[in-house]
Amino acid sequence: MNTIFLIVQREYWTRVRKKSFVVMTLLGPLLVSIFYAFLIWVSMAEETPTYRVLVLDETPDGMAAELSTKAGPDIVFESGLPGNLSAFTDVLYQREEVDAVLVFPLRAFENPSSIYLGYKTPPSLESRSGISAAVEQVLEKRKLAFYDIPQSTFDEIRKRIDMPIRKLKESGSLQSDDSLLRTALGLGSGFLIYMFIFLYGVMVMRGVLEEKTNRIVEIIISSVKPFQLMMGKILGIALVGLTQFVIWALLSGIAMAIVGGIMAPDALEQARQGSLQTQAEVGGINTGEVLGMIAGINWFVILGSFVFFFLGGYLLYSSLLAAIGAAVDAETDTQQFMLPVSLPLAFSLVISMNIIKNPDGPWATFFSIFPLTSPIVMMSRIAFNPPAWQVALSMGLLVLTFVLSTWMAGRIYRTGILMYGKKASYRELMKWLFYKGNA
Amino acid sequence: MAMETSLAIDIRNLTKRYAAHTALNDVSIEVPKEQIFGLLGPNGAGKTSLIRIINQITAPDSGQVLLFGSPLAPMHVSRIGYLPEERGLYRKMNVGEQALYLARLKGLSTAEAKSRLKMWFERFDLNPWWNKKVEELSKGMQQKVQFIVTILHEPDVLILDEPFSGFDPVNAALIRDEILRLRDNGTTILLSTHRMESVEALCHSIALLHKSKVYLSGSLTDIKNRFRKNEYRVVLEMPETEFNTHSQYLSQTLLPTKLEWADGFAQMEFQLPESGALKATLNELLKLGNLVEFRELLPGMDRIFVETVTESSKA
Repeated sequence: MNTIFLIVQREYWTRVRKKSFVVMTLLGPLLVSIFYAFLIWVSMAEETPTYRVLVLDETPDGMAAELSTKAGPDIVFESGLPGNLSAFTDVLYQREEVDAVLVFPLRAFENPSSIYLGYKTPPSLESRSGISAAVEQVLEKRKLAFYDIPQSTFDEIRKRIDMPIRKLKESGSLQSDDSLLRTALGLGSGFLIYMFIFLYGVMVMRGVLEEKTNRIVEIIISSVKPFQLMMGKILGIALVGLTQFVIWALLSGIAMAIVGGIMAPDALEQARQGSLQTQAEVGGINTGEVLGMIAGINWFVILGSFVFFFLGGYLLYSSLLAAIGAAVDAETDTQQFMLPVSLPLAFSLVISMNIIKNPDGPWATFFSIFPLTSPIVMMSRIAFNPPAWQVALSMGLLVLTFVLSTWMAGRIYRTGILMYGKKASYRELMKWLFYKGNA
Repeated sequence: MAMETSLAIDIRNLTKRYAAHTALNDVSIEVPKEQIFGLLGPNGAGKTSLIRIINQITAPDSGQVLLFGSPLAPMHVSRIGYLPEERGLYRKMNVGEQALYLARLKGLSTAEAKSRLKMWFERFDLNPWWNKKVEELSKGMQQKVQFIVTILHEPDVLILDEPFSGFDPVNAALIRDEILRLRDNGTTILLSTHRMESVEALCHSIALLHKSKVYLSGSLTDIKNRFRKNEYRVVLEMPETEFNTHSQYLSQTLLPTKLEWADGFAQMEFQLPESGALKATLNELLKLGNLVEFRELLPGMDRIFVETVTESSKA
């Protein structure tokens, strides 16, 4: 046990002190905060260029005069110019700041689809919808007048309701709908586990390969059992990963708070209220309810299962990757064995993105129990409170599988690390599994 | 369990099979205490398999290894020092730190390992390199570090697989002296090598493995006696004129492998059909001139090696 601790210690310290680790650990949060600052900056910046539209109104009663000047913050309608389309086209191409011509033909009211926009500069998505909305508004007003409907009546008819969606609990009380939050939570933690398994699993493989190609491995395993060396490496690297994630989380939090504080706190406050407002408009939720939603999630269960699936998945995959590292002579040879390992991993990420729409469906259920995909898929489901027996089964199977996979990996590892210049095939690996080993 | 025994390593009927071939086939070797024991054999003879079993890196299919009278057990790991043929170090790790780590894996405390390393680094002129990365060291220096790490925990049994490879003659001599010193201090050394001159210079006994079996074992003197071919070398003092008179007679009676005259001495090397003929032959020769040198030509280890291996290959 003492020797495993020594190995864990070495694996941990040599990696944590590496320049690349320090740089990545500090750079990660820096990149996150730069990205965050950029987002705020973009949302605050009003530099979107004005989209200037010439209005050619051929309608007898000057319909276009009613075009709202407030179509959008950056759309300007220029109306009242004389001339026909060819004259307008000339102006469009003479004046650099003009981007398009909006044409209301003679019978625009009777035939609204004859109205069109001819552009020199293609309009942005925002400008498109702004201009369309402005035209629709003009038509609307005209039609109301035509049918003699008062604006107030029309507004009354058109009033939108925001149907509240609530969870009806068994007790009969209502609870706010938090499925969006749960979806984000599930996908986020699933993705984190995926990242962790992949990044650090490959690090285990490289470490094993390094020891093998360095030929230091025979010196070490004359002092410790190969299994101890493998497990020491896997655990040491797990700690490296945990350290990096904790530092990232802390630094990112601090950096984002600082960035938020520096870059116009008012704007941030506005944005926050704005987003709450939109949410309130959409789902009828207020700030209190949001807090209630956050409180309503069983964080203990989520965090607990995160740590469990995170470690379980990592142990399972890193042991397989350790076996691959031991079986080959060079990193280029890892390809043929990498595919079957990385495929289920990538697959479970895709699956969890899709099943999140139906977290209790048959696929979701199956893949959240199947051990090769369960760490990611079950984690994506866990926020939706899946049946307890499924979680228990999934966890149990994961434990069984990683015990089996570390056992298998240990056997392949022990033979592989001392095998040089021999190209390992799957058949070869099967044989290694059953060699008589250390007593 | 442990009985008083004169054997450091007692290898009994070891067999180790891999899927396609047998690495060791009923191998028994006795390695006496406090000696340098040579483990010889061509590539693929099973030496590395045997060494790995003694180091408990792999287990045999059948047979047993006793270390100082008791069957191999995990606690023996700290009594053995092993320098593998294929050896390396972590390239990116500091030299001192790495030596410390490897020493602690063998069970030394940090303080103990540190003070012993200081001593050895001093002795091998490695002190300036303590804080350098391994990749900055020359191959010879890396080998020195490996050697130090192998013997640092003062093992009772030292297993050295081609210890001289990668060393220049100066450092090879340094290592050889250390090996002899360790032997004198009571360490049993198992030396696996292809270099017969080091076998002759260092080993007291040997075992020759070939095709997974022991073909030859015993003390070097015994083995050489077994391979003696009644070959002798005689140098007589005589003038050139006299040599010219006798040379025809000599070549007809002795059928020498070498017969020449230089600076007043006639040198001859010849083989007798049986050792009983020696006295008569010598008496004849003494009549021809003053005897300056007489000795039996014992076969060298490399000849014994090649002969044994080719003989058995024919069989």
